Amino acid sequence: MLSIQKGEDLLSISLNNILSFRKDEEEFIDLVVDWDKNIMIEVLEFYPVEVKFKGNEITFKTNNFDKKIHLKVKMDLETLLDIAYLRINPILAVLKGKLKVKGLLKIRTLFKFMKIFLKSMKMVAANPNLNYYEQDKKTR
Amino acid sequence: MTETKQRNIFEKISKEEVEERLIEIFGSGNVTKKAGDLYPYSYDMTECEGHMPDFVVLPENNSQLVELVKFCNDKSIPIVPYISGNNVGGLTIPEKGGIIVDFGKKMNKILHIDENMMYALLEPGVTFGQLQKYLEQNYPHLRYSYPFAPPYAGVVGNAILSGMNNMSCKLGSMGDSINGLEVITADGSIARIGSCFYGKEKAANDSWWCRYPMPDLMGLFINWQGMTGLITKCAVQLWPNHPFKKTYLAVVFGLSAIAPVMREMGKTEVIDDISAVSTEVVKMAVEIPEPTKIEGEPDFAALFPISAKTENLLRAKKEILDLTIKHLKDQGIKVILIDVDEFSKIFNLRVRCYLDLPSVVLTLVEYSGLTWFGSYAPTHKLEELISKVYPIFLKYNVPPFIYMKIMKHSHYGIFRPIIRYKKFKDEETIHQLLDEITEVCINEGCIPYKTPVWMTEKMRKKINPGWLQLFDKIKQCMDPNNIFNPGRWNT
Amino acid sequence: MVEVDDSLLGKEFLELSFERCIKCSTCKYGYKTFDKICPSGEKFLFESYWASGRIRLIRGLLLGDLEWSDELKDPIFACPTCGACMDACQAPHADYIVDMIEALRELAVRQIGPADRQELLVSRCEENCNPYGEENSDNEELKKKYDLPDKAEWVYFIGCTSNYRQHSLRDATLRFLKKAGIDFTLIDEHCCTSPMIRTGQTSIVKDYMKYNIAQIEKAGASKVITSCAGCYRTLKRDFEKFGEQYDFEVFHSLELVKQLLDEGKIKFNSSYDKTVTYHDPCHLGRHMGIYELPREVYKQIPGLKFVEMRRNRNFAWCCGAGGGVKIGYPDWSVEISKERLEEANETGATVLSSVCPFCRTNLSDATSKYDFEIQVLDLMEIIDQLDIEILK
Repeated sequence: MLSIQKGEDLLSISLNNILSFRKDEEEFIDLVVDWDKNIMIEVLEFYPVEVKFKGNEITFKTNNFDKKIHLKVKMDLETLLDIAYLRINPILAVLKGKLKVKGLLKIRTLFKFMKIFLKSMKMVAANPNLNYYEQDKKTR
Repeated sequence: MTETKQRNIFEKISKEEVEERLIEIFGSGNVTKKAGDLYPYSYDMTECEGHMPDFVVLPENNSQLVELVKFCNDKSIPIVPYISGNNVGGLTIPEKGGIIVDFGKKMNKILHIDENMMYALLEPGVTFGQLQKYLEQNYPHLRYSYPFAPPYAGVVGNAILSGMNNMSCKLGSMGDSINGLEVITADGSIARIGSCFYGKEKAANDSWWCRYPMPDLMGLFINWQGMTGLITKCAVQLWPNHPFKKTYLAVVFGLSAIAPVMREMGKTEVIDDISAVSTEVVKMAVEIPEPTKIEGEPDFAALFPISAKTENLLRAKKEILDLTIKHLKDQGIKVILIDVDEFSKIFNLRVRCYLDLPSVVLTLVEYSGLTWFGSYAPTHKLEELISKVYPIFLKYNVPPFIYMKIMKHSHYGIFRPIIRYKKFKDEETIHQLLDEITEVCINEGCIPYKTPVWMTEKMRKKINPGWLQLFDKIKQCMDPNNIFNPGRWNT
Repeated sequence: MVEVDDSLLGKEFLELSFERCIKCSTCKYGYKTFDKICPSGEKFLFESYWASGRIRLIRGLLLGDLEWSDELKDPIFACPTCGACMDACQAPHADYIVDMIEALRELAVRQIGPADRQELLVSRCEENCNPYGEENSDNEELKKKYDLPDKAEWVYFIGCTSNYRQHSLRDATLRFLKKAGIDFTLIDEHCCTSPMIRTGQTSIVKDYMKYNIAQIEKAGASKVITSCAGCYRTLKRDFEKFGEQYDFEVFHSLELVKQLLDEGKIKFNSSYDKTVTYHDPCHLGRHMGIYELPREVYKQIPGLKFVEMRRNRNFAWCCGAGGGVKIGYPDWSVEISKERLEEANETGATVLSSVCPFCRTNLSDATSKYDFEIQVLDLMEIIDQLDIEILK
């Protein structure tokens, strides 16, 4: 059972939304549980958010960051949406300088991050459902 | 709840006799004086003091209403019109007791849709949801304009109180989109106003096509909060429902930077609606009831829906938006324009409640109380209004909920600080907060619509004597016995 | 803030009425469909008869703005607690609206008593352990008839309506369970307490719940099955709400049918060549979120042509029996069913089926009173007419 922090800032709310999409998926749970990494995501116009994977919990921080950050990813909002909606491939985004990655040499961490985050983001974007009101009732 | 105050309605006639007469007019099943039935009508969601009515009636047709008005005028019994009580201004609270006329339950028919001249002829009880469903099913090529309000608010009430809806950047006030009214005046006469005024007996359904060019009597009823007569029919304009639609979201950094963004985008003349909310409001939509803003977050978000007959035209409109945004960025404003469909999926689909109007916006229905300073505002004052009102919210530890619109391509604006609160816990504090906001905003020239009585009291101190005298004369002329929603505007 | 009596079981829900609800009226109509959904609001029309109006009554009574009188009985009790308002409402208190109405009724019963004749629900139970006032059956005869043991893995909780009014439904379920080789038994049941809870008459509720739990435990069962949506809802939700714990699982009979079909343990070998429409019982649908399961079963019945009514699933129009309305407002109750039958007729179906004996009762009463030709049958009664092959 994964526990993903709700988040109270705009980016954490988005990250919760993206990561929650697959929270019941076995493959996703296997990827995330006990990964124990701290990933910094910065959407340029906004502010950095640390995504902390520890045990079966995913939490978010916008200050008092951990000293050890395993991967730093930086992009602007336009690039984030372009990647989500398949207008640009993440590799190409890196090559064009639109997606900056610090910790690029930590290939395993990077690839896992892509599987966890980028893949989830693309799945969320590809989901045709726009019906928000069907999401919240206990009995729906 | 107190008994009828300040006016002893049952001086001229006993309550039993009134009940008897009402049953004669409406039938026993459509009249109630039971306290349990009256109580839900006695107050609304705002901080306005409640007051019990003496009766509630459910009219079915004009002849019943004519009888009612004649009777009430003769006996000086107040009449208060009611649709669903969703106005945020205490307008349906019977300040002096009397009879609440609940149009919402039976006089709620869509009488006619005219496809050629694009209007809908409605009874007062028609709600937005009802109209939207009817148009979608029967006239999908036509659309109406919907407010930032639940689907069960009344269309006619919104129009005659100058509501602002999701095409208001194009159209302006909904009061401007009324083609015709049928009203009952204090002496029980029925008058039709607008192009429907031809015809001694009944107006043809296809005659409600224009407000002008006869002497404009409509102004005697618009924004009068039911003080001059009962409205029994209203023809509202409809518009083509263009097949190509897209909504863009602007995210703006800097507290007052939203103001020039809204003004400039309004002047492009390509946008259907411009509405902006403080970032806290975006968070409220995703079930963070008491949000705060952190450093680095944008301050405001604005929605820009555009629509067009062809894809090319839609693209061209988008091009204008992009150019305007670029121009604003060149001036040093930090703004990002994104596709709201894309954003909402990534962020949280719940924010779509702001798009799919009329919808139940969680933000508004969160607690047991809702109030606001809803006003028409001079758009050049938006920066000042934001910078003065925002800190007042923070002073009271209330998350700033600022809602603004641009009307009629930036001719004027809407400035609406909104407060959701726990009605039975925080009312006094919230009233103080609202009072402070009201003072600031009125001083900056804002004019509140759907005004509670305590607000009009403040306004009266600023309004020129000539206007007040004319207002009083008209009210006296239209309603000499002060039976129509007495107490509004401190009458 | 208002002080609410601690001894009221619904205290938290009464308090909730002060924190939530601006009376936006969304509870009155189907969300996004704008369809009629509220039987009491549509009948009586004044604001007090809709969910938001009732929430205001709670406030008025607790604040002292309103005085208790018999005039309040109708707005408080004339509501089948179908939960359509809960489904339509989009505010945070939406899922608790029926709880709030039941709490209001609990309060009202203490002050002015229940609606007319609803007190019979309790007095009959006190005499005979069931709200119908029929001589209590300890089900020993049925156990003998179906050769059932004293202890088994499953207990079939028949429920009062099936046991005292809808025998054909009860017997169809018994035959199915036997045929399917389910290891089950029956217990000496007391009423599940649903009628009492819905009408705010909670004096015997906890005792009856304890009794039923003890009987089930005595039978050694780890699973309970019921063919009544009302009992199902009560066992699964209300027992917990009233603080009664148990270690067994609760199923509706259609869940078992579905499971056996999915596992390939049973097969329908004959056809049911009729057009059938399904009425979502409120206590199974809106209250418990089960909409698709019954439909999946109907669609597996050979020959059965399944058609939907216009208002279906969470938008389903109530049959009008629940919430104490059947006994308190009998004429209106059947009138509500009439509207549902008219909707069923529009589909061209010859059979209106459901999975609740109380819905079956009221819909059948309405077909008789208003001369509808459509046949009202429970799913188990339809299955009872089929050839069922038991597969290994």
